[in-house]
Amino acid sequence: VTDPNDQGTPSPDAHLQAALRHAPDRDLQPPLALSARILAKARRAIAPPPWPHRFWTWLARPVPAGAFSSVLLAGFIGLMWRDGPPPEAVAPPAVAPAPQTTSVPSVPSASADPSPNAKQAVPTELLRRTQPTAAAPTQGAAVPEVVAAAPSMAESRSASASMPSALARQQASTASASPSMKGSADTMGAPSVPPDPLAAMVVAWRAGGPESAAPRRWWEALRDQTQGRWRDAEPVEGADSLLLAGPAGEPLGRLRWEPAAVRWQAAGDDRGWRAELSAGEIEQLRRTMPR
Amino acid sequence: MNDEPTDDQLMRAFAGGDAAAFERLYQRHAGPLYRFVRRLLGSTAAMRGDEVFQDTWARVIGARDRWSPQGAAFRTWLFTIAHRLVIDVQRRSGREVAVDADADADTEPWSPADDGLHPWSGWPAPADDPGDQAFWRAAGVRLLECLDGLPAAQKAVFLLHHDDGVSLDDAAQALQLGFETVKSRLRYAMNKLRTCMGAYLPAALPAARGEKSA
Repeated sequence: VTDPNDQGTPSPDAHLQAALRHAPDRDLQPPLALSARILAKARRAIAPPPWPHRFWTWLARPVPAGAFSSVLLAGFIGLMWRDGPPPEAVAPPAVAPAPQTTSVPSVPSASADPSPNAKQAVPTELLRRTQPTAAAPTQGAAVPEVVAAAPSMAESRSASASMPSALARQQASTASASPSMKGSADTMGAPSVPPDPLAAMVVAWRAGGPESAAPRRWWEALRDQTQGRWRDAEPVEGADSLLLAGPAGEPLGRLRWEPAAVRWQAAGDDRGWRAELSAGEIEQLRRTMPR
Repeated sequence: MNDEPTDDQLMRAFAGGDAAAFERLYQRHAGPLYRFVRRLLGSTAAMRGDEVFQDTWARVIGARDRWSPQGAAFRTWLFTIAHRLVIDVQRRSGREVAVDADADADTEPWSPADDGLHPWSGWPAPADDPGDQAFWRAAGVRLLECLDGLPAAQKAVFLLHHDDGVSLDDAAQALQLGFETVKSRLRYAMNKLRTCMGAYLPAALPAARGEKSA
């Protein structure tokens, strides 16, 4: 007890300490759901990051980043040159020599004899362009050449026009595949930490006294056997579920045995869990379960 | 020889990826820390206790790689975090002004003559005598009420020192205060609590004694 005449360091007051020891909140413990959240957070924090994160971290290093950007650049250039060099990269063709048009008369007249319909089909602009270099008798011969070229140009135009639609088809097929790919990507991006809904219960029993040894061992055994098998499930309800209490008699949660699984719901947590077990495992756990 | 790993060892193991080490740390300190937070917040802000408690452990988890003892015990560090978070909660809820004003109201030096030591003269010895359990339980209830009337600054010193057994040096470190300030706040806290408990004594003692004899 502090001596009131002593101005030095006060020592603890035994009466106040005794009152504190007997206060109604002396055995206050955090709620199990809260403990479970904190323990799960700790496990998630030390779990290895998902591979996309590791990949990006690796890629952020200078050497891989340089290599990757080079590959990207090369790929881009390759894509641009896939259908041949762009027009501006090709040297301009030599101007057609004048004699080229003079050779036109050597074309057999049968093939050079254009039908009036074919002539009509040729754009007049093209006709005008060919007329100054061609003599009057060869005009008809020049026209079929242009007409013959027209379908090939049209063909190439239609091919280039059809290219976006091919790309669109390819994108559509990718898009149709994307839901599953997206799903798998989501799964891969999520931290790969198996849920451990019994962690808080094991901790609660470990905090108990020596008389808690048997229940603690049972909970640890249940936790070991169900590790990695827990899946989200409906809340545990019904008359066939067991309400289990902790070392101080506080309710820990509800447990239900099924033929091939065990169901668990912690007190204060609205989610249920289900772990599949073999019949033998269930039988052994039920037999050793503390009363 | 005690094979139980220290808090520092467990914290290092946790930083190295050992989840079981964190579970043991949590098991050791969860109860006292939860009690400290709830008592420090008092009955008016008790509903924020879970939030502060969770945030405290979240800070511990987040700082696992940076953790180094540097002379401070893990427990002291843990309570330091909790204390800061409680102050933040009180500041956000507008109670900080009242807390400071209350603490600053004790500007007159503590006088030994004011020390309410005399109430203990009629009390049973603070031993765990089963016959006095009813009395001490009632005293515990009363003490929590008295704590509610204490400024947060004094309450923190008292709880660290009396409930968690933290030395005044460590309490000063945890609360980031000077040693003399902590000592002074502890004296004021004890003085007020003794007075408050003494006012309870005349009514409680006969009742507890009657219950005991019955």
